Amino acid sequence: MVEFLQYIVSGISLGAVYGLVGIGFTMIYNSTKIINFAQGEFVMLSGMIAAVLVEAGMGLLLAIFFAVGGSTLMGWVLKICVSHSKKASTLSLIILTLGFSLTLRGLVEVFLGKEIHRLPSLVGEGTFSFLGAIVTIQGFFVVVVLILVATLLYFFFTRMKEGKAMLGASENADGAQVVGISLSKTLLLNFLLATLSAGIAGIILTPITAVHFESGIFLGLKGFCAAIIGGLANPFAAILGGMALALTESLVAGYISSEYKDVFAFLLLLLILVFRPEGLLKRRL
Amino acid sequence: MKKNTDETLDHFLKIDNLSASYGKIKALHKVSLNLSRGKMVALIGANGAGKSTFLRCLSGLKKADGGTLYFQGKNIIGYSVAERVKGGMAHVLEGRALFSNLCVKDNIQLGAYLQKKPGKEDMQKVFQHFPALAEKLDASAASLSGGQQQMLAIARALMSQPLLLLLDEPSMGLSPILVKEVFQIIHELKGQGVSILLVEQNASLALQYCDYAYVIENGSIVLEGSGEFLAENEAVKKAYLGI
Ligand SMILES: Nc1ncnc2c1ncn2[C@@H]1O[C@H](COP(=O)(O)OP(=O)(O)OP(=O)(O)O)[C@@H](O)[C@H]1O
Ligand SMILES: [Mg+2]
Repeated sequence: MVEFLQYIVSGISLGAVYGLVGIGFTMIYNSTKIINFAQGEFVMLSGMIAAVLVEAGMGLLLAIFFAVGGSTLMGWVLKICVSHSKKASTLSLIILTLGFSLTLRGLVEVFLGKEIHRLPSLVGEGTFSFLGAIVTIQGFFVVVVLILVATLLYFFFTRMKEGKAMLGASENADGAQVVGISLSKTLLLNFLLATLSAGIAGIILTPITAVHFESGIFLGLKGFCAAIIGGLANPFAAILGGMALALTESLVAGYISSEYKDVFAFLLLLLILVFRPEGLLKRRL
Repeated sequence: MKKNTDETLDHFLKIDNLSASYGKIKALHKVSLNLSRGKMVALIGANGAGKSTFLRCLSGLKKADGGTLYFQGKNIIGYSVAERVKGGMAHVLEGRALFSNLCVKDNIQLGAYLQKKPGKEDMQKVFQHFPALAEKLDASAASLSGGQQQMLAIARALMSQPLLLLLDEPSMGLSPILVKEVFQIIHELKGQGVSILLVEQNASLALQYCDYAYVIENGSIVLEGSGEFLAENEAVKKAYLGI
């Protein structure tokens, strides 16, 4: 029983990371109908910037500020690229994000190096026991951050005018324009929020897993799966999808073998795509 | 035939030689149309004649190829959609273009997106025309009946306090009773001083309610005159009134 709980606990904090990356996929998908394959690179970028700056002697908080700021800034650049190719088909835009991700990865490799980097934790390395299972403070912190980000986003989308305007613009672009909503502005907000949450994910994940220039590939893939499993219609579904994915991985790794965890994770994705293509959560926000 | 030239001197809405195209397809060819403050003008025409394209050029959703567009004395051809909304134009789109998964209240409030302080009173005022909507504030727009959706689309447009309402086929898909109701509301709005440019396939009602009307065919205005005048015209009778 304790063993089971242990797998659940580690699954949940991993799921929180997947969810945080997945939220960004959903937001950009809803505003543009494109899958942003650069999403994982923003997580990597933020982790890399923070780690390199701290290694160079900068204070942790300041380094985090630059890291999250840096990855969000790149989100802005990506938005400009997408806006510039307005007439391009969805497929071309998806390929554009793939190109953007290769570029980011290459730039990081050239300027920040190929080495694996570590980042000190914001909350320390301690652990505590929960019903016999060991919970790391960092793992717990990931979940707290996810809840915080999700709550803020929920408040933004359901209570604030700009948030509702973003939902409106993704529902009906013409309808949004005729009430005076700027599509370009809502698109930018979507990209900024998506890359901001990716940047935050990088900061809380790097102390746990370390980072190098290729980390974004795996993270992007997992975040993408989380978004698909949860359902692309609703940003918060990605959290559900992330949890489902990570719990599957964690339980398979625990009870069967960690060699099979990815097999089962993709099996879950496949089952969802076949039997419930709209994802676990159909309801929109 | 009495032209409405002297009435249009206020340049409230004065469109001259407006052209527009989709790639190589010419959708509008040098269309000119006038509407003076407080009046209701109808634009009738068959499927694909260019009616919606014309309204989209007015609200700024579509870029015109050429021509002038005066609204309240200013040439607004280069203005953005938002600037035109601020200036007092509201476009009720064909097919309603609601935010289907948002609730009625959010739809209406987003109508006041550009208003500095969207007051409760504005909403109450709008609900006077649409009492049924006031009882469905939390329902999603998609869950409403066709008639209620059309009411919601008009209500959303009214939240920007427009001087000019562009209505694209408000009667589309509605039962005859609801069509009457929609026209009644349009008439009420006109009574309150809102100027109206109405695009309709339901030509008989449109001609009955309007002060002046234009007939568009293949992107060009082919006929214009008062509602009564057009309703008596043999060609109009044959083509649009089914008599
Ligand atoms: N997005 C578009 N791309 C290409 N052609 C278009 C587009 N929208 C309209 N058209 C063409 O422009 C012409 C005018 O269309 P428009 O929608 O303005 O007509 P309409 O009078 O509103 O017709 P309806 O009564 O069916 O609404 C038509 O030939 C139509 O096929
Ligand atoms: Mg039309």
